[in-house]
Amino acid sequence: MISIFGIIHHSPGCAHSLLSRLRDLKPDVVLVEGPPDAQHLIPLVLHPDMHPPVALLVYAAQSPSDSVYYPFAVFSPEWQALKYAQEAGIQARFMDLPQAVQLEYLKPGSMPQEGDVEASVPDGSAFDGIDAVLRQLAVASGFGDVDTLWESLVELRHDSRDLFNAMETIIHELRGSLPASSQPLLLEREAAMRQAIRAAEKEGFDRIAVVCGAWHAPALRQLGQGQEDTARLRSLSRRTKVECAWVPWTNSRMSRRSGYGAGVAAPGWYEHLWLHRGAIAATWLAHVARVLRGEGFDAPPASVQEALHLSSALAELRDRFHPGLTEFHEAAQIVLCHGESEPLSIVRDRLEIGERQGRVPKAETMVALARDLELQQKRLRLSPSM
Amino acid sequence: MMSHKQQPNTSTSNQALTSVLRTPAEEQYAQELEELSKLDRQENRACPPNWRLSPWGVRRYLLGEKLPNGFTVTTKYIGNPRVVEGAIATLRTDRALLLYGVPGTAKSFLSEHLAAAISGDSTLVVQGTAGKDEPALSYNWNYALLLMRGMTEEALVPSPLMRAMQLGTIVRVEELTRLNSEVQDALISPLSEKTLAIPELNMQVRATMGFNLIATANNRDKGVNELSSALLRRFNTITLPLPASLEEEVKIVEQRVASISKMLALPGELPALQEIQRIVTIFRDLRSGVSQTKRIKVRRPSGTLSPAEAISVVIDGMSCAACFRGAPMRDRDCASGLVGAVVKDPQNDKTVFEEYLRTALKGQSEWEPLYNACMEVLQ
Repeated sequence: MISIFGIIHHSPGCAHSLLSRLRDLKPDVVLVEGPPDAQHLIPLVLHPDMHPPVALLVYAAQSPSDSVYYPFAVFSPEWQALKYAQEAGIQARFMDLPQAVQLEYLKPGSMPQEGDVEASVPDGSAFDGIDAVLRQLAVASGFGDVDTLWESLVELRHDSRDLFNAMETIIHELRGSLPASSQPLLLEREAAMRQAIRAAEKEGFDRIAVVCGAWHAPALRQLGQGQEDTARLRSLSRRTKVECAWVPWTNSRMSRRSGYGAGVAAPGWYEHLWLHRGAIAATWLAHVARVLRGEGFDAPPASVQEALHLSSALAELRDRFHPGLTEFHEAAQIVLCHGESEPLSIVRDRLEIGERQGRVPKAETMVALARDLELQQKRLRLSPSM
Repeated sequence: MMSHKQQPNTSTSNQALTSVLRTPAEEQYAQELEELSKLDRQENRACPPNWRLSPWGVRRYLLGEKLPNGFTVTTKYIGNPRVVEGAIATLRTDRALLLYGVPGTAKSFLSEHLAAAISGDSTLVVQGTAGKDEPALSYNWNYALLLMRGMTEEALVPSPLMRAMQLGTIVRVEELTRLNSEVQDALISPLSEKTLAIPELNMQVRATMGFNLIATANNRDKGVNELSSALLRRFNTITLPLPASLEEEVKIVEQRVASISKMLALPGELPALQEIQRIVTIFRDLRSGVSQTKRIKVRRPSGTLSPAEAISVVIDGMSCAACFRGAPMRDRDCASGLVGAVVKDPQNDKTVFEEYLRTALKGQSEWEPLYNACMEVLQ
């Protein structure tokens, strides 16, 4: 049996739903949209010195600046899926088209950018027109913008049992109504993912869990016989030799503000949603008050309570079932900051984006650096130091 | 229902409507409020205790909307809807609301319309002035009755605040920071305990549901008394922004000019959009210190140059045209009002304005009449 979970990258709501579905399903293999080149690095997910945000760095061995990052936060569904598999003692596999192929094709002309391969749905910039369609969807459903739409429907959702079905219905409609995407290698990548599913089936796995970007989910359902996919993939060159490593990442580099295409608007807020599910509002405003007190504002507990009331009243007025980041932000400005907006830029940096810095096992970072040093020494004809 | 019957002291209802210079919002927009109330009932939108409209109805009233039955509710507040939502949500949570900002950013306007929509009565007002004492906020005595009968409830003259507490309505305090600090602090107990003590009668007025307070204060005036932090903590504060764009500001000025000129029965057509645009452009340039047409830096004069002043410059120009030259208003009719609005300090501001006219406007054909007229006034 194959279960496909189309997720939104870096969505705590999806991560939560995914985890509870995986626990029910008890799969014997988990396939994750990610680079098979880094397959051997998956077990490090459970290493005691591994603390997200971290990123998988995949780079061409001969020219390390041709590289791609796969960032993971603690609330990324892919991260939680990998962790679940490791803890449950089952296999986790990356199923995307290898970067050995992708780097070859994405290289000419422009430098590959961070997030190029992260075909993210909420980001949308990777797809022609999807941005505009999602925005229309957000406006038509009364949410105003796409972030608020996802926040309301996915992140702050209490009952998330039908989440994946509902999202796939939306994406199915969108895929049908948009012109074919011009995203490079999209068809090849989906073919590769289907091949990975078929391979797992052939190996005799019973319950296969597939975790991919929501955009790909409908395409992965139509498995068929696979001759077409084999043909499509046969012609691809795999000449690039790639190296992989885990590297530390930061919340600010997870944010869209940093230019990361699949980034989220407020990683710190998402982390909060992941960590404090069930007590989101009060704990968030308490954190905000603590930051503001450090900046010389009174922000006593009584005012925090008033801010909580105000955020609920704002949510009610906007017909939301739960106040979101916008409501908390406004309530903090009105109640705690006496109408001023400047102090909130500190809240934005420290909490909404967050200052968390990831860590990876020391040996891991050294490996990549040592290889680069070796390469440089060879090029400059210096004697190797290691 | 208007509450004037209950307030013999402040009643204006025996005057014919036509002779009144300015009617309160709830009378001027009575039909809109009625339609919105009907819609609330149809949609089953609950009103908080003693509110005339639901929070959604109040938002519709302020932001304007075409209702399902075809009735159009006019837009009262042009600008970011979040400002309005923050204000309504604040009053919904029974916290007092402080509208803060530079002069002329629609603080009093918003306060009046909020009170009209929520309580159906915007006339309970305390105007903050340096001469007001504490009884203006609490209660006073009818001294004739006091001498005749002694300290009785009858001899008590309640303040608008006390009346609002009894009626469960909204009271407005205009220019809160112009009141002396000791007087301001009289608000603390009504706001936090929701009570007002009358020690002379050994009694206490307890606020009924629906009571709340909207205060306005501006952060530019000289001679203001900063709020104590104890009082500030009891308010939710919303800072009203200056209009974000030229289009928004032109729309505000255009709409207010139309409604004021109707009220004043100024003859003739309304000024053309370009005329208003030019006035607003000058205001925005001088306020921001950057000329939008020429993309150059300009010096800023000392005045605040708010949208409210732009409105009065246009009204002034219309009236000038109507009286002396015949409508419609042309650029030159606005010149003296414009110079008056910009030049607050006769020495510096005059040079600043002349410099602006020369560097930013001179030599462009569409600006020529206004440029010439202003230079003439300045000489």
